[in-house]
Amino acid sequence: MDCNSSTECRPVRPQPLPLDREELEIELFRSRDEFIALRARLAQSEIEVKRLRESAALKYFTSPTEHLDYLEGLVKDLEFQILELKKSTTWRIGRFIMSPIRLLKRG
Amino acid sequence: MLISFVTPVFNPPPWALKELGENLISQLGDDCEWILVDDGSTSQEHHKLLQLLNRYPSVSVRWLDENLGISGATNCAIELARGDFIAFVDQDDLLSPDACSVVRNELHDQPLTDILYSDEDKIDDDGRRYGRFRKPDWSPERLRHQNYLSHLTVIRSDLVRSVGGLRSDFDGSQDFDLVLRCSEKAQRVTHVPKVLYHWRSLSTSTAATPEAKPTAHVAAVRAVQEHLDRVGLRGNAFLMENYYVGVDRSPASHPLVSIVIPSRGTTARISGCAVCLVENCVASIVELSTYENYEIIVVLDTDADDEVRNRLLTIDSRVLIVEFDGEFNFSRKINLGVVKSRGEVVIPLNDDTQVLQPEWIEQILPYLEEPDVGTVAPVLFLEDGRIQSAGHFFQDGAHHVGAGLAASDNGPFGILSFPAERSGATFAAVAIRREVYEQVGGLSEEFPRAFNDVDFCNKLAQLGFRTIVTPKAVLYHFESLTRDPKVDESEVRKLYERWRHVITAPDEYLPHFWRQCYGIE
Repeated sequence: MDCNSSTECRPVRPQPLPLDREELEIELFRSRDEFIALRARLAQSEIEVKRLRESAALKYFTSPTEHLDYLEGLVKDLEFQILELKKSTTWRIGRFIMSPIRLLKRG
Repeated sequence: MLISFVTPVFNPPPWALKELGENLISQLGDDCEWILVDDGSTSQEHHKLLQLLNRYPSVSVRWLDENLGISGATNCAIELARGDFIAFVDQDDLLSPDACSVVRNELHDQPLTDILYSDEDKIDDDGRRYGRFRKPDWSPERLRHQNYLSHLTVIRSDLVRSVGGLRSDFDGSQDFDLVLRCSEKAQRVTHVPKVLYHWRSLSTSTAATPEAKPTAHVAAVRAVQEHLDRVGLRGNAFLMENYYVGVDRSPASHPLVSIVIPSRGTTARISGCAVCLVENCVASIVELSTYENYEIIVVLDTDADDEVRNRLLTIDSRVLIVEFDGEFNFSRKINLGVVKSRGEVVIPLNDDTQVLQPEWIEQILPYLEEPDVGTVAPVLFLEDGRIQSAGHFFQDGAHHVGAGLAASDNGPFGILSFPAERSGATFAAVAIRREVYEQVGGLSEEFPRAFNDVDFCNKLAQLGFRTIVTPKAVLYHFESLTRDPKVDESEVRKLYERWRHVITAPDEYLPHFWRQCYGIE
């Protein structure tokens, strides 16, 4: 409440907190880095799954081994984490503020 | 799918052609054919052999009435070829016994491939093999300096015909000219890391000695120059002393460059004298650099001596100091410096570096103009003149290319003498476009002291960007004068958590580099 006299008070609209652009950029770096790291770990897991599938001992099994089950579960977990990260406010703000991710290699 | 092996023939050593015949005939089948074109040979010693080969069902021989040159004869063979792919084989060379099947299987597994190339080695008169060339994966920058594709190269027939086949004007380097033109249109270039081709080392061939065909080198320079002109890159091609093609490039524009230097303001001994490292670094930039459109952002620890601050600010008006308060974290310092900067290009630079040549920035910028180049790095030298780092390669971990070698060392197959792709580069000195830096999330603070650069370059690679190291830009790096060279085990663990699959596999661009350096095969 804002009271400029003893008899008159008006409700005050709350002021927005000042955004530190530089801090936000640093935070965006962290989010992007985390996302790319997750993708890297996902790629590693996929390679490991492929390696196990290709090994002769597993090729003729009709059902995966416990280790293969675990690795496939890990892949699914990582995919879920990636989806969750993409739903996060930080990531959505980042996509809004930063340049759209175009494939820069195509110019 | 049918693969057509094409061989132009002109006065071949009959024994060599016979060996090739036995070698290739055993591999032909329903999916491989062999086309030979005799280019008006004056010698008749091999005539009967060609007639015999012509009787085989998968072999076709044509005799030309006049000599058209190697390009003309090869183009005739290409006209006769029925295959989806053309594989180029010289008359006196040999293929590995499984070349056909390996090529076929690889093209089947990678159906988008337009150009395929394999590793190669040489074979002497006694049949001994030597000089194995372990080639990099697709490296367009390297190709501008060296026809590293060489043999065995297989190109999609439609692509060869669309560029008009080989050009006689470039005889001697007609294959180099062809692969440059085809690579400009190729959707995918596939490398088979296996020796499928044995290049016979005769005294008259460039396999034995590059001086054997001087006109070939002139043609190579022209081929590269025309390639640069076609793809719109500013540059002048010339012949280097080691017979590779050099390119003088200049930047098309002069963007603002932000040089970010993290520092604690420490003093160390250089050439026997105690110097403040960051002052020495900044002074060398200001005094030597011919490029003028830059700013220098020094990210200085808050507890650094005020005298250092004052002296830095008096060196040049383009110096800005950003205070850093907190536990040492190289990544965080660089990220902070980048965020505070304004340039289109950022150059993270260690404070223990020193500019050696005036045009170092002009030598780096042209490569960043290519949209798929993420990072460009100079070659760094130690105080004693030996190479400290010419990029990173992976072999059960990350290592500096050329560490400890003399500055004059060209490296295996000349790799240190021209700009080329690398798996990564040290952030002691590197240039990045700002938009790329932001896209990959900057340097990861998960790596406060070490491996942040290895991680960064792998993030770039994951997004399809290349890292180029150029020996045309050089700096001193008085390595680890300011920090403990010990590596934190937790950072090693994090590196392997993210990139085990990359850093334990053979390096993409310098496979088995140490073996090649020491000639161990």
